[in-house]
Amino acid sequence: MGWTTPRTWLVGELVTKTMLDTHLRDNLMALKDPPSAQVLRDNAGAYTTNSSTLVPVDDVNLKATLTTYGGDVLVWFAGTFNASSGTNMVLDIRVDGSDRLGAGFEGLVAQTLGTAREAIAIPPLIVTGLDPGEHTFELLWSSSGATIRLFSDTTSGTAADNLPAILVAREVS
Amino acid sequence: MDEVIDLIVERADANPERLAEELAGLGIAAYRGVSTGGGRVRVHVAPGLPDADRAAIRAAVERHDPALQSQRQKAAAARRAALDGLRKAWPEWTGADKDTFLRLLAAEWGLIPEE
Repeated sequence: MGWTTPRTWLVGELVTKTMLDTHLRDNLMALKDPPSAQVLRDNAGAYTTNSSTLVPVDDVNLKATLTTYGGDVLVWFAGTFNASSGTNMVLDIRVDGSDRLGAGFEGLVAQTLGTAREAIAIPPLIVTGLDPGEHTFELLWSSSGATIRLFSDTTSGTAADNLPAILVAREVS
Repeated sequence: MDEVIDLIVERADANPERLAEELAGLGIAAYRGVSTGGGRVRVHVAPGLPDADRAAIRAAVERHDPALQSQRQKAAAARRAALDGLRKAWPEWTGADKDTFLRLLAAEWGLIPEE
């Protein structure tokens, strides 16, 4: 049941069951259960890149898709990374395949990586100005040189590699 | 964000470091990097790639042998082997062992690059 712009009630009008269902019951239910997408990705192995340009980690499977009612969307990411040798990693999030949330910056977050695993997150961000309809949110990454890895596995022989890549989006207004 | 396009090859078995070396070795100016995951290899290149370069990249990905190591992986394996050879009681250390140890230590500290 979706969100309907609440009715402006008139003095003396007859309030019907249909009106109450639509504007009270259904809207409360919509607020209780907003459009959400949570990806805990098991890629059966680490993702890797050495791309010097921001590129999607996985534009098919590591993508949060939700159909909104025109409100703001809260989006965030967390994952565990390392690199084959010292290198600088940049992360960003792309909306609808084109708009980068860190536009104007190098990205949203950056981290110097080495061979040790590091948990890195993009904190929750509010994405505004989205029209009602389907929207996609994808993780982008780049490396200044060495190959970087995002762990995303459940069956590795190395227990410490068995970690999800987590991408979440939820309409919040 | 520079515009890039992806050349996609379906293959799940890759040694990303080695593959990156092989692709960089092609000397294609438009090459921006390579990603793996989801059963695919994606080679990132600037738009307008000539057909010959496109074919060379695709051929390199297809003939890639994931069992082969990158230069860094070879160096790391050699370093591990050298260290394993030093795991013995101090009285058993030879002059060559001590030279090896000093060389590894200097490289580890970044004082002298490894050969």
